[in-house]
Amino acid sequence: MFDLLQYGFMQRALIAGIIIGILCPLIGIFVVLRRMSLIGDSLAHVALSGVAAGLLAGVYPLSTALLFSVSAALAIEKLRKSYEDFAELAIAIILSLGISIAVVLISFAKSLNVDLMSYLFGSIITVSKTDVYMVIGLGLVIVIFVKLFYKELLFITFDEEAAKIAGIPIKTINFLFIVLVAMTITVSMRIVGILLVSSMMVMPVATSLQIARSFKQAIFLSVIFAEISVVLGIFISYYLEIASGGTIVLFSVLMLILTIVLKNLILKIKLKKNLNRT
Amino acid sequence: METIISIKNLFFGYRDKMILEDINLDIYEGDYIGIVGPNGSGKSTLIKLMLNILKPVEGEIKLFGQDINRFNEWDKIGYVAQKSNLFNKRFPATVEEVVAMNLYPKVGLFRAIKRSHLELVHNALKIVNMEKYKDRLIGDLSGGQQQRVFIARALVNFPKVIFLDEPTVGIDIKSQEEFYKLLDKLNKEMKITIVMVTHDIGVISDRIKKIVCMGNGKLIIHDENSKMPFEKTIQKIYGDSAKILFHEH
Repeated sequence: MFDLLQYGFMQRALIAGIIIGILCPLIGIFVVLRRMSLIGDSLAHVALSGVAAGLLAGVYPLSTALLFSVSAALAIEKLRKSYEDFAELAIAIILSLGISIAVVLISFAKSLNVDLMSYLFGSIITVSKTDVYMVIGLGLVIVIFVKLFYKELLFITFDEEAAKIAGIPIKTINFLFIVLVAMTITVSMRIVGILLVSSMMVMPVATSLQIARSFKQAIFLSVIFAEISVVLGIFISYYLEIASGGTIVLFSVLMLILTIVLKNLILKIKLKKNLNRT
Repeated sequence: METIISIKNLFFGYRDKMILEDINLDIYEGDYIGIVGPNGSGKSTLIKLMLNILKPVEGEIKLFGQDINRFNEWDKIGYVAQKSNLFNKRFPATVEEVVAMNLYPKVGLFRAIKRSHLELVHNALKIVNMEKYKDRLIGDLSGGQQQRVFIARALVNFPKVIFLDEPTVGIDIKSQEEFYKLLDKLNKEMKITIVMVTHDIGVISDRIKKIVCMGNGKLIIHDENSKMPFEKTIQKIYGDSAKILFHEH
């Protein structure tokens, strides 16, 4: 297995994958707990139109994807205010816009379909050095932001109204946060693929929520679960010559199922023990 | 006695419908005020206006003598929202993490919670008798215990006034009684001003001396100096058939 690490593409895929394994759950935990899980899907579809636009214009596709998804993120935040009671409607509106632009652009450029496929499903072979630099750069920005604003993000996620009354600058933090969600999606789609990038934000968090006993523990466990599925997924996808995104997410689903089964089993055993005592 | 809140000629409406018209109200240090009224009478709206969550169409609100838009001493104010008991029950936060949240603005941006801050958290939990639950997940507690934790969160900054918006909804009767005893203690022993929206007219008419009755956009204050009996005031707001059922919790 370690022979594989001699290959440049494998080193690049692993570096990018491991960083994504930190970023996705780190941002994902706030997204999930704010009940905005669909936002990842929505922004990923907009990012797809950005990739298509980049490929058409001959520009580095991740930069146009970043531009498109950050703009979409800001539009979602604006719409969320207009539809306060239907926050998910804002996400659905942007999703429709993103996918329709992507479909139109893709139909303009039929010859680009091969490149687009690697963005749609994720690919470890096509990760370039520029991609790795972008993942490292944006990854650092995201980790530093979460470290600096951890308390404020936690408060806003738990109770936005109380956070506002307590004097937390929620508008600024919400604005920066949604930009970071767009950045996370852009850097993650190279490995995980546009179609599954939101799963990468949601699945490890869903697994950790089954067993976490504090917020810090939930973040830590989410990252562990994400890393296991990323590393296993990258190696298995290479050996079986299948898309990395699907393999990684399948591992994270498997971990969720295993965690639920084990948790229920332990609870049953505990219950039986307690019954025997009485 | 310091005036904590002063509302003058306040008007508020949603879209084209006026909910509050020409409201005037003064709340003084040490007051224990109950706000009652039928659904849609604007009780929660009034609290949200006093907390600057909503902006009035017209009128003036002063907090501690300062215009609300320039007011920045929010640590003097504690708030327990109506939806406190509607939070995500699977949220993976411990009681300690939840109570510490109100300290975050004091801790400051980019800084971490220190031991001295945790001592404040433990002290607040002690007041509401929830110290031994500090490491438990908030979602694992009963409705009454959760409400105590939210009171502790409001208390952690040593506020001068606490606003509560229907705090006993969804809480069993025994816990409600303990809850009201806790509020008595905060008001009488710790001298904290309390402003509470409630539907529980029977209980508060026994305990609270100053009751703000709201209906049809108007506000009537019933206190010890009022000539009109409380039941008559309630009938003015709720209709002639309204009766107060006094019951001990």
